[in-house]
Amino acid sequence: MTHRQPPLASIAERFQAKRPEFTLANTSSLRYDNNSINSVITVIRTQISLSEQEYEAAKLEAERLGISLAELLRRSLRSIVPAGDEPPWMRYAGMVNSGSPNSSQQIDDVVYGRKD
Amino acid sequence: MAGRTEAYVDTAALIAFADGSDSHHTLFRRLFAQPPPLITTTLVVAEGHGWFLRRFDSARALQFLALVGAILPLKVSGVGLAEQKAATLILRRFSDQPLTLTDAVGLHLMASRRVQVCWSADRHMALTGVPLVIHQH
Repeated sequence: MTHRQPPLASIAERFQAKRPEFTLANTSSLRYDNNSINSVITVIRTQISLSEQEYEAAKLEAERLGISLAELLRRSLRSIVPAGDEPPWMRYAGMVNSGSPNSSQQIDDVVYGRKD
Repeated sequence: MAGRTEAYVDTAALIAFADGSDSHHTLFRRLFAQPPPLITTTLVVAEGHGWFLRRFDSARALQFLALVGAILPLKVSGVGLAEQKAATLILRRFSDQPLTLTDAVGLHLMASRRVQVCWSADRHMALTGVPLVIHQH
């Protein structure tokens, strides 16, 4: 009887996913009189396995966007998994950042070209 | 959504929604989150696809087509010879303006369907008197 190995990624997910961590690091803190209020952010640490090619491509893209690899992966995930009760097409909101505040008013220049 | 007035979606609205850098992004993000019935044309889709192709790459352009397909309240109206002829009349009427055929077909569609509001940041789309949504918010 042959025994098929589960994919590496699923093994890593099974053994590396940790319980939620409750941390006060990077949280906002408000102080009124002598009372301080801290908001707690719940994060779940997990580990994924990527091929060398995928890793290099992701690192390059993150570098190009000026963000961390973790942030790139979070953004990628958000583009696939709808957030909350928003309709599914909302995952495309802000799917690019052209760097131009006037991009919606300069469409003709890009598509048809500027007049000389 | 039922009973709400139909709005015409111009290329600018789709670009502003998709481009987080655009100054109208927040407005269109809010509008698309709870849209009324929407209508646009195949020419707008082609223009938007062309924008992503020129500004970014074919992958982003395909992603844009996926966006258009995902917006369920958005009806994409085909453009045939009749629409082209009607748009040509509009182009002649406003020959002093740098209107594209896409713009003119949109203006024709808004008139023929009595659309009350135009989702666009392009002032040319207000030439026939339909208000732009950016001036209402």
